[in-house]
Amino acid sequence: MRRSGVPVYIITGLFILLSFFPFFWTLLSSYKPGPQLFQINPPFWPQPFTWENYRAIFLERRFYLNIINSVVVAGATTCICVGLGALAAYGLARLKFRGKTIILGFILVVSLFPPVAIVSPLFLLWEKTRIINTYLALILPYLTFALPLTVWLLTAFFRQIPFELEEAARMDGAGPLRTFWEVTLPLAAPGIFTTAILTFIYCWNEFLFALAFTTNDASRTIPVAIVMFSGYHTVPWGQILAAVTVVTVPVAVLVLVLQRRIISGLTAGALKG
Amino acid sequence: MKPGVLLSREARLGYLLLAPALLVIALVALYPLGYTLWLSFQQKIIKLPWLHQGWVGLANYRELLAADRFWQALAHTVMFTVVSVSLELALGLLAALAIHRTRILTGLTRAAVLLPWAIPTVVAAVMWLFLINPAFGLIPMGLRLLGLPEAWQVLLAHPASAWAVIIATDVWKNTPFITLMLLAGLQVIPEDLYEAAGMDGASRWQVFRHITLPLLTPAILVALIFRTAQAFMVFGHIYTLTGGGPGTATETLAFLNYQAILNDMRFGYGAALSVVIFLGSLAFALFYLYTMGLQIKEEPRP
Repeated sequence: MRRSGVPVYIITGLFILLSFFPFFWTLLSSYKPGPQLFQINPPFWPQPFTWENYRAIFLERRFYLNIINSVVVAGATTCICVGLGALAAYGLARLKFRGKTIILGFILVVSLFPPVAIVSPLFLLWEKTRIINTYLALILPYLTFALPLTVWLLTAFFRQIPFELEEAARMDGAGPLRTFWEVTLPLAAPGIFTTAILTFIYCWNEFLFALAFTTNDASRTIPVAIVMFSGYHTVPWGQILAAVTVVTVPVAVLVLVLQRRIISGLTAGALKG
Repeated sequence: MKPGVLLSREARLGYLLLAPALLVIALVALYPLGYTLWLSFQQKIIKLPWLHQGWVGLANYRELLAADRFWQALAHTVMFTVVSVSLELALGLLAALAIHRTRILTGLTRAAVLLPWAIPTVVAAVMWLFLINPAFGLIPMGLRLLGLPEAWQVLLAHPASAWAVIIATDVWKNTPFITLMLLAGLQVIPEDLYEAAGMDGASRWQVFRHITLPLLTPAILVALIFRTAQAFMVFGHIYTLTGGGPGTATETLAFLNYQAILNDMRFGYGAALSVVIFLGSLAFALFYLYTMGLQIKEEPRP
């Protein structure tokens, strides 16, 4: 093992500081009363400490509606994608048939296509069918980027599972479906979980479709709602910062607990490992 | 049972398993794309219903290719993609090399690096808007301490400084992705290669140049391709930070496309722009498939 000098730790420390500090400052500022927030040289610690901004976003702006919207849309999209994706990925990773290369290539091309390219027709279709502002108006376009992602990731994860166990099950007379259900699926559970987290994060962060296909406060998702906090004349900075904190803290906890899984997911599709 | 029969049953099951996913992709992606293509030959302006609405042939494309705003947005998008992705690669490589050799608090370090990547792009952008606010933001405060003139502190008021903000914040948000991809790449380089190089008395630069860099190239390529594709479609970041301003100085292709559709309500013209963007990214995706051909090749069954 090579030695790690002081410069290495300084560089790492600097990157961590740069990553963290903006969040830390946002967190602190979200507890500051208005006048302190807008001071030319703001104080470091909030004095006095206030929950006013949090009260305002939840009781006046009903920000919880936006959180519910985000959870439902991202959750439903993730469930659909993992369900359909697991079937497809098992076929791609384990079964022998013609055209697999073309199908994988097709799925990859779909995952790289620009989302804005389908906004025009979908807006017209959603207007006509009156599903604008419904969950469906977001879940359907979210499938365009989420489904290729899940198929791609799950295929990579299924390929990592040793084939011998499945072969043994097949020898014992279990059919491919039963083998999938009783042998592959339990072994693939960690990979499926990782795929679900990543898919959820990608849906949770989506902005373009959510902006295009929602027109009122109550149906917006979190990112759109926060951007729309600003009125024509005033920017409620305190409330914006409180909302940013509310959505960032769970993500920070999630990332801290699940970092190993998220990283394995990020790299599974791209690198053989 | 004959092997041939088994094979065909397996193939049938394979197609059956893939059918639902492919059907859904065709329905939610291919059908709208075809619709976009059809719309691009139509005039459809919801704000101006008294105008001729319907088939106009190539008129939308002619108008688009004659528009300075389109070429300007294309130039902006290419500039943004090249500059921000290069910076992210350089910083990501530096961070990956440092973090790879950090032996304490490794979990915490990785989580800290992941955090900017994991939050929504526009939430990060809103946070940076607060940090660069000319009246009470921390960054203009720092610039004041450095003695920069007052006029420079309104960062989003000038095209050059607005771009600097857009690129710097994009680098902050997306360097983690490259860092993590490269970290994974570093982890699969066998340690004994370094030991051998050390015994041969290779300098640090030689080790980096002849061992680390060549073995890291696949990871670098993958990270670059994903980031380039993403940067090329940048929308939320621009929408939140500058709204394309000052004037049209920071408009990118996706932003312009969104404006044409949902601001001007010109669905036909917007669709034509979409088709052009789509063809560009398709060319890029095919280039990607070509480069990564090895990855896609069916792996032989063990």
